[in-house]
Amino acid sequence: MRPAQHYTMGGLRTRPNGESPTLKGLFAAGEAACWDIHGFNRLGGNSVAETVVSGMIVGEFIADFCDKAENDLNVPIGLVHDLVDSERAKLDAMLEGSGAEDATELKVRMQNIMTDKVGIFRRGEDLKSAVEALQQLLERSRSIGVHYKAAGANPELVTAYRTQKMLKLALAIAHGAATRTESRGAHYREDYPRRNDAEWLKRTLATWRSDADTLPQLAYEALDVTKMELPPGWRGYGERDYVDHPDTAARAAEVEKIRQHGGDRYAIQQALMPFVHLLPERFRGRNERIDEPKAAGQ
Amino acid sequence: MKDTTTENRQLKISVLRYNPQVPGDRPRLQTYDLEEAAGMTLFIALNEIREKQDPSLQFDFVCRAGICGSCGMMINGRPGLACRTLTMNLGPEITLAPLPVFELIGDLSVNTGKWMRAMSERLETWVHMKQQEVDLTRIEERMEPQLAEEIYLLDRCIECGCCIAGCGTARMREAFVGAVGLNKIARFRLDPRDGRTDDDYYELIGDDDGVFGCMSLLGCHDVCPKNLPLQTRIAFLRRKMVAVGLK
Repeated sequence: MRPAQHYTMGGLRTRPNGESPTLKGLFAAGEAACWDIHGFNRLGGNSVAETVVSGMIVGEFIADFCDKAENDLNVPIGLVHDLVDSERAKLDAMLEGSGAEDATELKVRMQNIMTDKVGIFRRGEDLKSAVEALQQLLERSRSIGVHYKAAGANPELVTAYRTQKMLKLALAIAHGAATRTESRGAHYREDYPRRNDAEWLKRTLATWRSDADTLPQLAYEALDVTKMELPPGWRGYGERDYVDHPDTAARAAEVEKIRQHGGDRYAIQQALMPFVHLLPERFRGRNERIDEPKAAGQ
Repeated sequence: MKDTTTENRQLKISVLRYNPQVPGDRPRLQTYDLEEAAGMTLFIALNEIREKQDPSLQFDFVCRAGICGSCGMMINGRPGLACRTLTMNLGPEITLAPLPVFELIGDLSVNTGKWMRAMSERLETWVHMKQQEVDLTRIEERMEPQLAEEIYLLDRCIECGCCIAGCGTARMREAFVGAVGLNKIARFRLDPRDGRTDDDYYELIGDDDGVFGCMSLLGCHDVCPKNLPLQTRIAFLRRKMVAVGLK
Protein backbone atom coordinates (compact mmCIF):
# COMPACT_ATOMS: atom_id res chain seq x y z
CA MET A 1 0.00 0.00 0.00
CA ARG A 2 1.11 3.56 -0.58
CA PRO A 3 -0.50 6.98 -0.47
CA ALA A 4 -1.82 8.50 -3.67
CA GLN A 5 -3.24 11.82 -4.79
CA HIS A 6 -7.01 11.64 -4.83
CA TYR A 7 -8.37 15.15 -4.45
CA THR A 8 -7.21 18.56 -5.58
CA MET A 9 -7.46 21.36 -3.04
CA GLY A 10 -7.73 24.27 -5.38
CA GLY A 11 -9.03 24.85 -8.84
CA LEU A 12 -10.36 27.61 -11.01
CA ARG A 13 -10.58 30.80 -8.95
CA THR A 14 -14.21 31.78 -8.56
CA ARG A 15 -16.32 34.48 -7.02
CA PRO A 16 -18.93 33.42 -4.45
CA ASN A 17 -21.38 32.82 -7.33
CA GLY A 18 -19.00 30.31 -8.93
CA GLU A 19 -18.05 32.58 -11.82
CA SER A 20 -14.48 33.20 -12.87
CA PRO A 21 -13.33 36.73 -12.01
CA THR A 22 -11.42 36.92 -15.29
CA LEU A 23 -13.72 35.30 -17.85
CA LYS A 24 -17.39 36.20 -17.90
CA GLY A 25 -19.73 33.24 -18.15
CA LEU A 26 -17.15 30.65 -17.05
CA PHE A 27 -18.41 28.87 -13.94
CA ALA A 28 -16.79 26.15 -11.85
CA ALA A 29 -18.14 24.12 -8.95
CA GLY A 30 -16.92 21.31 -6.74
CA GLU A 31 -13.40 19.96 -7.03
CA ALA A 32 -12.83 21.99 -10.21
CA ALA A 33 -13.24 25.26 -8.31
CA CYS A 34 -11.30 27.37 -5.83
CA TRP A 35 -14.46 28.45 -4.01
CA ASP A 36 -12.80 28.65 -0.57
CA ILE A 37 -15.01 26.02 1.00
CA HIS A 38 -12.24 23.79 2.40
CA GLY A 39 -9.35 26.12 3.01
CA PHE A 40 -6.01 24.39 2.59
CA ASN A 41 -7.15 20.92 3.56
CA ARG A 42 -10.23 18.98 2.67
CA LEU A 43 -11.51 16.72 5.43
CA GLY A 44 -12.74 13.25 4.49
CA GLY A 45 -16.34 13.15 3.21
CA ASN A 46 -16.48 16.88 2.56
CA SER A 47 -16.12 16.65 -1.20
CA VAL A 48 -19.56 15.03 -1.38
CA ALA A 49 -21.01 17.86 0.73
CA GLU A 50 -19.21 20.32 -1.54
CA THR A 51 -20.70 18.74 -4.65
CA VAL A 52 -24.22 18.96 -3.23
CA VAL A 53 -23.93 22.48 -1.79
CA SER A 54 -22.00 24.11 -4.61
CA GLY A 55 -24.08 22.29 -7.19
CA MET A 56 -27.21 23.78 -5.66
CA ILE A 57 -25.88 27.32 -5.23
CA VAL A 58 -23.66 27.69 -8.29
CA GLY A 59 -26.18 25.82 -10.42
CA GLU A 60 -28.80 28.41 -9.48
CA PHE A 61 -26.42 31.25 -10.38
CA ILE A 62 -25.66 29.62 -13.73
CA ALA A 63 -29.39 29.31 -14.46
CA ASP A 64 -29.89 32.97 -13.48
CA PHE A 65 -26.98 33.97 -15.69
CA CYS A 66 -28.40 32.11 -18.68
CA ASP A 67 -31.82 33.69 -18.11
CA LYS A 68 -30.57 37.23 -18.69
CA ALA A 69 -30.64 38.62 -22.21
CA GLU A 70 -27.49 40.67 -21.63
CA ASN A 71 -25.55 37.43 -21.17
CA ASP A 72 -26.41 36.07 -24.60
CA LEU A 73 -23.27 34.67 -26.15
CA ASN A 74 -22.10 37.18 -28.70
CA VAL A 75 -18.69 36.10 -29.94
CA PRO A 76 -17.32 37.09 -33.33
CA ILE A 77 -17.20 34.03 -35.59
CA GLY A 78 -13.64 34.98 -36.54
CA LEU A 79 -12.53 34.54 -32.94
CA VAL A 80 -14.04 31.05 -32.81
CA HIS A 81 -12.30 30.12 -36.06
CA ASP A 82 -8.99 31.46 -34.77
CA LEU A 83 -9.21 29.31 -31.67
CA VAL A 84 -10.30 26.21 -33.56
CA ASP A 85 -7.41 26.75 -35.99
CA SER A 86 -4.84 27.16 -33.24
CA GLU A 87 -6.07 24.06 -31.35
CA ARG A 88 -6.16 22.05 -34.56
CA ALA A 89 -2.63 23.20 -35.36
CA LYS A 90 -1.47 21.88 -31.98
CA LEU A 91 -3.05 18.48 -32.61
CA ASP A 92 -1.73 18.36 -36.17
CA ALA A 93 1.75 19.18 -34.93
CA MET A 94 1.63 16.07 -32.75
CA LEU A 95 0.11 13.89 -35.47
CA GLU A 96 2.06 15.08 -38.47
CA GLY A 97 5.07 16.90 -37.05
CA SER A 98 8.55 15.59 -36.61
CA GLY A 99 8.37 15.42 -32.82
CA ALA A 100 10.10 12.38 -31.36
CA GLU A 101 9.07 12.62 -27.72
CA ASP A 102 6.88 9.83 -26.33
CA ALA A 103 3.85 11.08 -24.37
CA THR A 104 3.54 8.02 -22.14
CA GLU A 105 7.22 8.18 -21.19
CA LEU A 106 6.90 11.86 -20.22
CA LYS A 107 3.73 11.14 -18.25
CA VAL A 108 5.32 8.28 -16.30
CA ARG A 109 8.37 10.46 -15.51
CA MET A 110 6.05 13.20 -14.28
CA GLN A 111 4.18 10.72 -12.09
CA ASN A 112 7.42 9.48 -10.55
CA ILE A 113 8.65 13.01 -9.86
CA MET A 114 5.37 13.98 -8.21
CA THR A 115 5.31 10.81 -6.07
CA ASP A 116 8.97 11.02 -5.04
CA LYS A 117 9.37 14.76 -4.52
CA VAL A 118 5.98 16.47 -4.24
CA GLY A 119 4.27 13.95 -1.97
CA ILE A 120 3.11 14.12 1.64
CA PHE A 121 6.44 15.08 3.24
CA ARG A 122 8.11 17.83 1.25
CA ARG A 123 11.54 19.46 1.35
CA GLY A 124 12.80 22.57 -0.39
CA GLU A 125 15.63 20.92 -2.29
CA ASP A 126 13.36 18.11 -3.54
CA LEU A 127 10.73 20.59 -4.64
CA LYS A 128 13.31 22.72 -6.40
CA SER A 129 14.68 19.76 -8.33
CA ALA A 130 11.13 18.59 -9.09
CA VAL A 131 10.28 21.99 -10.59
CA GLU A 132 13.43 21.91 -12.74
CA ALA A 133 12.77 18.37 -13.94
CA LEU A 134 9.11 19.14 -14.69
CA GLN A 135 10.12 22.24 -16.66
CA GLN A 136 12.36 20.05 -18.82
CA LEU A 137 9.51 17.60 -19.33
CA LEU A 138 7.17 20.45 -20.30
CA GLU A 139 9.65 21.66 -22.89
CA ARG A 140 10.05 18.12 -24.21
CA SER A 141 6.26 17.73 -24.32
CA ARG A 142 6.16 20.43 -26.97
CA SER A 143 7.80 17.99 -29.36
CA ILE A 144 5.61 14.97 -28.71
CA GLY A 145 5.14 12.81 -31.76
CA VAL A 146 2.14 10.50 -32.11
CA HIS A 147 2.71 7.29 -34.04
CA TYR A 148 -0.88 6.14 -34.36
CA LYS A 149 -2.47 8.56 -36.80
CA ALA A 150 -6.10 7.38 -36.83
CA ALA A 151 -8.81 10.04 -36.73
CA GLY A 152 -11.58 9.94 -34.15
CA ALA A 153 -10.99 8.47 -30.69
CA ASN A 154 -7.21 8.06 -30.82
CA PRO A 155 -5.94 7.01 -27.38
CA GLU A 156 -2.34 7.95 -28.14
CA LEU A 157 -3.37 11.46 -29.20
CA VAL A 158 -5.52 11.76 -26.07
CA THR A 159 -2.53 10.84 -23.89
CA ALA A 160 -0.34 13.35 -25.73
CA TYR A 161 -2.89 16.16 -25.44
CA ARG A 162 -3.52 15.48 -21.77
CA THR A 163 0.13 15.02 -20.82
CA GLN A 164 1.00 18.57 -21.87
CA LYS A 165 -1.76 19.90 -19.65
CA MET A 166 -0.98 17.56 -16.76
CA LEU A 167 2.58 18.86 -16.77
CA LYS A 168 1.37 22.44 -16.45
CA LEU A 169 -0.82 21.43 -13.53
CA ALA A 170 2.04 19.49 -11.93
CA LEU A 171 4.24 22.58 -12.29
CA ALA A 172 1.61 24.83 -10.70
CA ILE A 173 1.47 22.45 -7.71
CA ALA A 174 5.23 21.91 -7.39
CA HIS A 175 6.18 25.55 -7.94
CA GLY A 176 3.54 26.72 -5.47
CA ALA A 177 4.76 24.19 -2.90
CA ALA A 178 8.42 25.12 -3.41
CA THR A 179 7.65 28.80 -2.89
CA ARG A 180 5.46 28.32 0.20
CA THR A 181 8.02 28.16 3.02
CA GLU A 182 5.66 26.97 5.75
CA SER A 183 3.37 24.01 6.47
CA ARG A 184 -0.37 24.39 6.11
CA GLY A 185 -3.21 21.92 5.69
CA ALA A 186 -2.18 19.16 3.33
CA HIS A 187 1.08 20.93 2.45
CA TYR A 188 3.76 19.73 4.90
CA ARG A 189 7.35 20.98 4.64
CA GLU A 190 9.92 19.09 6.70
CA ASP A 191 12.19 22.13 6.45
CA TYR A 192 9.38 24.53 7.47
CA PRO A 193 7.14 22.48 9.76
CA ARG A 194 5.34 25.45 11.37
CA ARG A 195 2.19 27.08 10.10
CA ASN A 196 3.03 30.73 9.58
CA ASP A 197 -0.10 32.89 9.44
CA ALA A 198 1.96 36.08 9.68
CA GLU A 199 3.53 35.51 6.27
CA TRP A 200 1.48 32.84 4.52
CA LEU A 201 -2.20 33.30 5.34
CA LYS A 202 -2.90 33.79 1.66
CA ARG A 203 -3.96 31.69 -1.25
CA THR A 204 -1.68 31.00 -4.18
CA LEU A 205 -2.97 31.96 -7.60
CA ALA A 206 -1.08 30.46 -10.52
CA THR A 207 -1.48 31.87 -14.02
CA TRP A 208 0.03 30.70 -17.29
CA ARG A 209 0.81 33.87 -19.20
CA SER A 210 2.10 32.49 -22.45
CA ASP A 211 2.40 29.18 -24.28
CA ALA A 212 6.16 29.60 -24.31
CA ASP A 213 6.50 29.78 -20.51
CA THR A 214 7.72 26.84 -18.49
CA LEU A 215 6.54 28.22 -15.15
CA PRO A 216 3.23 29.74 -14.13
CA GLN A 217 3.25 33.20 -12.63
CA LEU A 218 2.41 33.06 -8.94
CA ALA A 219 0.39 35.74 -7.19
CA TYR A 220 -0.97 35.79 -3.68
CA GLU A 221 -4.34 36.86 -2.36
CA ALA A 222 -4.30 37.63 1.37
CA LEU A 223 -7.07 36.33 3.60
CA ASP A 224 -8.69 39.01 5.75
CA VAL A 225 -8.55 37.81 9.37
CA THR A 226 -10.60 40.79 10.56
CA LYS A 227 -13.65 39.45 8.68
CA MET A 228 -13.39 35.83 9.77
CA GLU A 229 -16.01 34.05 11.80
CA LEU A 230 -13.34 31.72 13.13
CA PRO A 231 -9.89 33.33 13.00
CA PRO A 232 -7.19 30.68 12.56
CA GLY A 233 -5.95 29.44 15.91
CA TRP A 234 -5.08 26.24 17.65
CA ARG A 235 -6.87 23.25 16.16
CA GLY A 236 -7.63 21.58 19.46
CA TYR A 237 -5.03 18.86 18.95
CA GLY A 238 -1.28 18.64 18.49
CA GLU A 239 1.29 21.19 19.60
CA ARG A 240 0.50 24.88 19.73
CA ASP A 241 3.36 25.48 17.36
CA TYR A 242 2.42 28.08 14.80
CA VAL A 243 2.91 31.77 14.06
CA ASP A 244 -0.22 33.87 14.50
CA HIS A 245 -1.31 36.53 12.08
CA PRO A 246 -0.95 40.00 13.68
CA ASP A 247 -4.72 40.56 13.40
CA THR A 248 -5.72 37.24 14.93
CA ALA A 249 -5.70 38.18 18.65
CA ALA A 250 -7.83 41.29 18.12
CA ARG A 251 -10.29 39.47 15.89
CA ALA A 252 -10.55 36.53 18.32
CA ALA A 253 -11.43 38.99 21.11
CA GLU A 254 -13.99 40.69 18.88
CA VAL A 255 -15.61 37.36 18.00
CA GLU A 256 -15.73 36.45 21.67
CA LYS A 257 -17.39 39.78 22.48
CA ILE A 258 -20.05 39.32 19.79
CA ARG A 259 -20.81 35.83 21.06
CA GLN A 260 -20.99 37.11 24.69
CA HIS A 261 -23.37 39.83 23.59
CA GLY A 262 -25.76 37.08 22.57
CA GLY A 263 -28.88 37.19 20.41
CA ASP A 264 -30.36 34.50 18.23
CA ARG A 265 -28.08 32.55 15.94
CA TYR A 266 -29.09 34.63 12.94
CA ALA A 267 -28.12 37.88 14.69
CA ILE A 268 -24.79 36.39 15.82
CA GLN A 269 -24.04 35.09 12.34
CA GLN A 270 -24.95 38.45 10.83
CA ALA A 271 -22.60 40.24 13.24
CA LEU A 272 -19.76 37.75 12.77
CA MET A 273 -19.84 37.04 9.08
CA PRO A 274 -22.86 37.98 7.01
CA PHE A 275 -23.30 35.72 3.98
CA VAL A 276 -27.01 35.53 3.23
CA HIS A 277 -26.79 38.39 0.71
CA LEU A 278 -24.35 36.29 -1.33
CA LEU A 279 -26.85 33.47 -1.83
CA PRO A 280 -29.32 33.16 -4.69
CA GLU A 281 -32.67 34.71 -3.72
CA ARG A 282 -34.49 31.43 -3.29
CA PHE A 283 -31.97 30.01 -0.83
CA ARG A 284 -32.12 32.91 1.62
CA GLY A 285 -34.97 31.55 3.73
CA ARG A 286 -34.47 30.45 7.31
CA ASN A 287 -34.16 26.69 7.49
CA GLU A 288 -36.44 24.76 9.78
CA ARG A 289 -34.71 22.69 12.44
CA ILE A 290 -36.03 19.99 14.74
CA ASP A 291 -35.69 22.38 17.71
CA GLU A 292 -36.95 25.34 15.66
CA PRO A 293 -40.16 24.10 14.05
CA LYS A 294 -41.90 26.30 11.52
CA ALA A 295 -45.63 26.86 11.52
CA ALA A 296 -47.51 26.06 8.32
CA GLY A 297 -47.50 28.98 5.91
CA GLN A 298 -44.58 30.64 7.70
CA MET B 1 4.54 -16.30 3.16
CA LYS B 2 4.27 -16.10 -0.57
CA ASP B 3 7.03 -17.95 -2.36
CA THR B 4 8.72 -15.14 -4.26
CA THR B 5 11.03 -17.50 -6.13
CA THR B 6 8.11 -18.76 -8.22
CA GLU B 7 8.13 -17.20 -11.66
CA ASN B 8 5.16 -15.08 -12.65
CA ARG B 9 2.85 -16.50 -15.28
CA GLN B 10 3.16 -15.31 -18.86
CA LEU B 11 -0.24 -14.16 -20.05
CA LYS B 12 -1.43 -14.11 -23.64
CA ILE B 13 -4.15 -11.50 -23.96
CA SER B 14 -5.99 -11.56 -27.27
CA VAL B 15 -8.04 -8.47 -28.07
CA LEU B 16 -10.65 -8.21 -30.81
CA ARG B 17 -9.45 -5.11 -32.61
CA TYR B 18 -11.34 -2.99 -35.09
CA ASN B 19 -11.42 0.75 -35.61
CA PRO B 20 -14.48 1.76 -37.65
CA GLN B 21 -12.86 5.19 -38.16
CA VAL B 22 -10.02 3.70 -40.20
CA PRO B 23 -11.09 3.07 -43.81
CA GLY B 24 -10.51 -0.56 -44.81
CA ASP B 25 -9.79 -1.74 -41.27
CA ARG B 26 -10.91 -5.31 -40.60
CA PRO B 27 -11.79 -6.96 -37.29
CA ARG B 28 -8.94 -9.16 -36.10
CA LEU B 29 -7.60 -10.74 -32.94
CA GLN B 30 -4.32 -9.29 -31.76
CA THR B 31 -2.39 -11.10 -29.06
CA TYR B 32 -0.19 -9.39 -26.49
CA ASP B 33 2.30 -11.20 -24.25
CA LEU B 34 2.47 -9.89 -20.74
CA GLU B 35 4.03 -10.97 -17.46
CA GLU B 36 1.44 -11.31 -14.72
CA ALA B 37 1.96 -9.35 -11.49
CA ALA B 38 0.53 -9.94 -8.03
CA GLY B 39 -3.02 -8.61 -7.73
CA MET B 40 -3.17 -7.78 -11.43
CA THR B 41 -6.59 -6.90 -12.83
CA LEU B 42 -7.47 -6.74 -16.51
CA PHE B 43 -7.58 -2.96 -16.09
CA ILE B 44 -3.94 -2.95 -14.98
CA ALA B 45 -2.97 -5.41 -17.72
CA LEU B 46 -4.62 -3.33 -20.45
CA ASN B 47 -2.98 -0.13 -19.22
CA GLU B 48 0.38 -1.83 -19.19
CA ILE B 49 -0.17 -3.02 -22.75
CA ARG B 50 -1.15 0.47 -23.83
CA GLU B 51 1.77 2.13 -22.05
CA LYS B 52 4.48 -0.32 -23.08
CA GLN B 53 3.36 -2.16 -26.20
CA ASP B 54 0.58 -0.49 -28.13
CA PRO B 55 -0.54 3.11 -27.54
CA SER B 56 -3.29 2.70 -30.14
CA LEU B 57 -5.31 0.17 -28.10
CA GLN B 58 -8.75 1.58 -27.31
CA PHE B 59 -10.56 0.77 -24.07
CA ASP B 60 -12.37 2.86 -21.49
CA PHE B 61 -11.90 3.27 -17.76
CA VAL B 62 -12.22 6.01 -15.20
CA CYS B 63 -12.42 4.87 -11.59
CA ARG B 64 -10.61 1.49 -11.57
CA ALA B 65 -12.85 0.52 -8.63
CA GLY B 66 -16.11 -0.81 -10.09
CA ILE B 67 -18.03 2.42 -9.61
CA CYS B 68 -17.96 4.27 -12.95
CA GLY B 69 -19.13 1.40 -15.18
CA SER B 70 -16.82 2.32 -18.08
CA CYS B 71 -14.74 -0.83 -18.46
CA GLY B 72 -17.42 -3.40 -19.26
CA MET B 73 -16.18 -5.87 -21.90
CA MET B 74 -16.50 -9.49 -22.97
CA ILE B 75 -13.97 -11.47 -20.94
CA ASN B 76 -13.56 -14.97 -22.38
CA GLY B 77 -17.04 -14.55 -23.84
CA ARG B 78 -18.73 -13.31 -20.66
CA PRO B 79 -19.60 -9.67 -19.89
CA GLY B 80 -17.72 -8.23 -16.92
CA LEU B 81 -15.76 -5.24 -15.62
CA ALA B 82 -12.06 -5.22 -16.46
CA CYS B 83 -11.21 -3.45 -13.20
CA ARG B 84 -12.99 -6.05 -11.09
CA THR B 85 -11.50 -9.08 -12.85
CA LEU B 86 -8.29 -10.49 -11.41
CA THR B 87 -6.11 -12.21 -13.99
CA MET B 88 -5.23 -14.87 -11.36
CA ASN B 89 -8.82 -16.12 -11.63
CA LEU B 90 -8.43 -16.68 -15.38
CA GLY B 91 -6.28 -19.05 -17.41
CA PRO B 92 -3.06 -17.78 -19.01
CA GLU B 93 -4.83 -17.19 -22.33
CA ILE B 94 -7.47 -14.49 -22.14
CA THR B 95 -9.72 -13.26 -24.95
CA LEU B 96 -11.26 -9.79 -24.76
CA ALA B 97 -13.95 -8.35 -27.04
CA PRO B 98 -16.17 -5.27 -26.93
CA LEU B 99 -19.66 -5.53 -25.44
CA PRO B 100 -22.20 -6.37 -28.14
CA VAL B 101 -25.43 -4.36 -28.73
CA PHE B 102 -23.74 -0.99 -28.08
CA GLU B 103 -22.27 1.22 -30.78
CA LEU B 104 -18.61 0.38 -31.29
CA ILE B 105 -16.18 3.28 -30.85
CA GLY B 106 -13.13 1.11 -31.50
CA ASP B 107 -11.44 -2.04 -30.13
CA LEU B 108 -12.88 -2.56 -26.60
CA SER B 109 -14.50 0.86 -26.37
CA VAL B 110 -18.28 1.05 -26.87
CA ASN B 111 -20.74 3.90 -26.52
CA THR B 112 -22.85 2.73 -23.59
CA GLY B 113 -23.65 6.36 -22.75
CA LYS B 114 -25.68 6.89 -25.91
CA TRP B 115 -27.73 3.76 -25.27
CA MET B 116 -28.26 4.56 -21.57
CA ARG B 117 -29.30 8.11 -22.33
CA ALA B 118 -31.93 6.97 -24.83
CA MET B 119 -33.24 4.41 -22.32
CA SER B 120 -33.33 7.02 -19.52
CA GLU B 121 -35.22 9.51 -21.65
CA ARG B 122 -37.71 6.89 -22.73
CA LEU B 123 -38.36 5.55 -19.24
CA GLU B 124 -38.06 9.00 -17.62
CA THR B 125 -35.68 7.66 -15.00
CA TRP B 126 -35.88 10.52 -12.58
CA VAL B 127 -38.11 11.32 -9.60
CA HIS B 128 -41.39 12.78 -10.82
CA MET B 129 -42.30 15.00 -7.90
CA LYS B 130 -45.87 15.40 -6.81
CA GLN B 131 -45.52 19.14 -6.33
CA GLN B 132 -43.72 21.52 -8.65
CA GLU B 133 -41.55 23.28 -6.11
CA VAL B 134 -40.09 21.87 -2.91
CA ASP B 135 -39.85 24.24 0.07
CA LEU B 136 -36.17 23.90 0.79
CA THR B 137 -36.42 25.61 4.17
CA ARG B 138 -38.59 22.76 5.50
CA ILE B 139 -37.18 19.63 7.03
CA GLU B 140 -37.28 16.87 4.42
CA GLU B 141 -39.99 14.24 4.50
CA ARG B 142 -38.70 11.26 6.39
CA MET B 143 -38.17 7.83 4.96
CA GLU B 144 -37.96 4.54 6.83
CA PRO B 145 -34.31 3.45 6.91
CA GLN B 146 -35.33 0.04 5.56
CA LEU B 147 -37.00 1.63 2.54
CA ALA B 148 -34.00 3.91 1.99
CA GLU B 149 -31.81 0.80 2.04
CA GLU B 150 -34.02 -0.94 -0.53
CA ILE B 151 -33.88 2.06 -2.85
CA TYR B 152 -30.16 2.40 -2.34
CA LEU B 153 -29.64 -1.26 -3.19
CA LEU B 154 -31.22 -0.74 -6.64
CA ASP B 155 -29.56 2.66 -7.04
CA ARG B 156 -26.18 0.91 -7.00
CA CYS B 157 -26.56 0.23 -10.73
CA ILE B 158 -23.56 1.74 -12.55
CA GLU B 159 -24.98 1.42 -16.09
CA CYS B 160 -21.99 -0.63 -17.23
CA GLY B 161 -24.06 -2.43 -19.87
CA CYS B 162 -23.09 -5.98 -18.83
CA CYS B 163 -26.76 -6.96 -18.36
CA ILE B 164 -27.56 -5.78 -21.89
CA ALA B 165 -24.60 -7.65 -23.35
CA GLY B 166 -25.74 -10.79 -21.51
CA CYS B 167 -29.40 -10.46 -22.54
CA GLY B 168 -31.05 -12.73 -25.12
CA THR B 169 -33.94 -10.34 -25.76
CA ALA B 170 -31.67 -7.33 -26.28
CA ARG B 171 -30.01 -9.20 -29.16
CA MET B 172 -33.38 -9.66 -30.86
CA ARG B 173 -35.30 -6.52 -29.96
CA GLU B 174 -33.45 -3.31 -30.57
CA ALA B 175 -35.78 -1.25 -28.38
CA PHE B 176 -35.79 -3.61 -25.37
CA VAL B 177 -35.00 -1.60 -22.22
CA GLY B 178 -33.20 -4.53 -20.57
CA ALA B 179 -32.50 -5.23 -16.93
CA VAL B 180 -30.87 -1.84 -16.42
CA GLY B 181 -34.09 -0.08 -17.52
CA LEU B 182 -36.42 -2.36 -15.59
CA ASN B 183 -34.26 -2.01 -12.48
CA LYS B 184 -34.59 1.76 -12.73
CA ILE B 185 -38.38 1.54 -12.89
CA ALA B 186 -38.27 -0.79 -9.87
CA ARG B 187 -36.17 1.83 -8.07
CA PHE B 188 -38.46 4.81 -8.78
CA ARG B 189 -41.53 2.68 -8.07
CA LEU B 190 -40.21 2.23 -4.51
CA ASP B 191 -39.50 5.92 -4.04
CA PRO B 192 -42.30 7.70 -2.15
CA ARG B 193 -41.17 11.04 -3.64
CA ASP B 194 -42.09 9.79 -7.11
CA GLY B 195 -45.76 10.48 -7.78
CA ARG B 196 -46.11 8.01 -10.66
CA THR B 197 -48.48 5.05 -10.28
CA ASP B 198 -48.39 1.55 -11.74
CA ASP B 199 -50.72 2.80 -14.49
CA ASP B 200 -48.01 5.30 -15.47
CA TYR B 201 -45.29 2.65 -15.35
CA TYR B 202 -47.45 0.36 -17.49
CA GLU B 203 -47.35 3.00 -20.21
CA LEU B 204 -43.54 2.86 -20.06
CA ILE B 205 -42.80 -0.87 -19.72
CA GLY B 206 -46.09 -2.75 -20.27
CA ASP B 207 -45.11 -4.20 -23.65
CA ASP B 208 -42.59 -6.47 -25.38
CA ASP B 209 -39.94 -3.75 -25.35
CA GLY B 210 -40.48 -3.56 -21.60
CA VAL B 211 -41.06 -6.14 -18.91
CA PHE B 212 -43.01 -8.55 -21.15
CA GLY B 213 -40.07 -8.87 -23.54
CA CYS B 214 -37.99 -10.59 -20.86
CA MET B 215 -37.67 -14.33 -21.54
CA SER B 216 -36.40 -15.03 -18.02
CA LEU B 217 -33.07 -16.34 -19.26
CA LEU B 218 -31.61 -14.09 -16.56
CA GLY B 219 -28.14 -13.74 -18.02
CA CYS B 220 -28.41 -10.21 -16.65
CA HIS B 221 -28.68 -11.51 -13.10
CA ASP B 222 -25.73 -13.86 -13.58
CA VAL B 223 -23.33 -11.24 -14.98
CA CYS B 224 -24.31 -8.09 -13.01
CA PRO B 225 -21.02 -6.90 -11.45
CA LYS B 226 -22.96 -5.19 -8.65
CA ASN B 227 -24.97 -8.32 -7.82
CA LEU B 228 -28.27 -6.48 -8.14
CA PRO B 229 -31.35 -8.62 -7.41
CA LEU B 230 -32.49 -8.42 -11.04
CA GLN B 231 -34.26 -11.78 -11.06
CA THR B 232 -36.68 -10.93 -8.23
CA ARG B 233 -37.12 -7.29 -9.28
CA ILE B 234 -38.06 -8.16 -12.86
CA ALA B 235 -40.43 -10.95 -11.70
CA PHE B 236 -42.09 -8.61 -9.20
CA LEU B 237 -42.44 -5.84 -11.76
CA ARG B 238 -43.93 -8.25 -14.29
CA ARG B 239 -46.56 -9.35 -11.73
CA LYS B 240 -47.46 -5.72 -11.00
CA MET B 241 -47.70 -4.87 -14.70
CA VAL B 242 -49.87 -7.94 -15.40
CA ALA B 243 -52.23 -6.70 -12.68
CA VAL B 244 -52.54 -3.35 -14.47
CA GLY B 245 -52.98 -5.05 -17.85
CA LEU B 246 -55.80 -7.25 -16.56
CA LYS B 247 -57.69 -4.38 -14.94
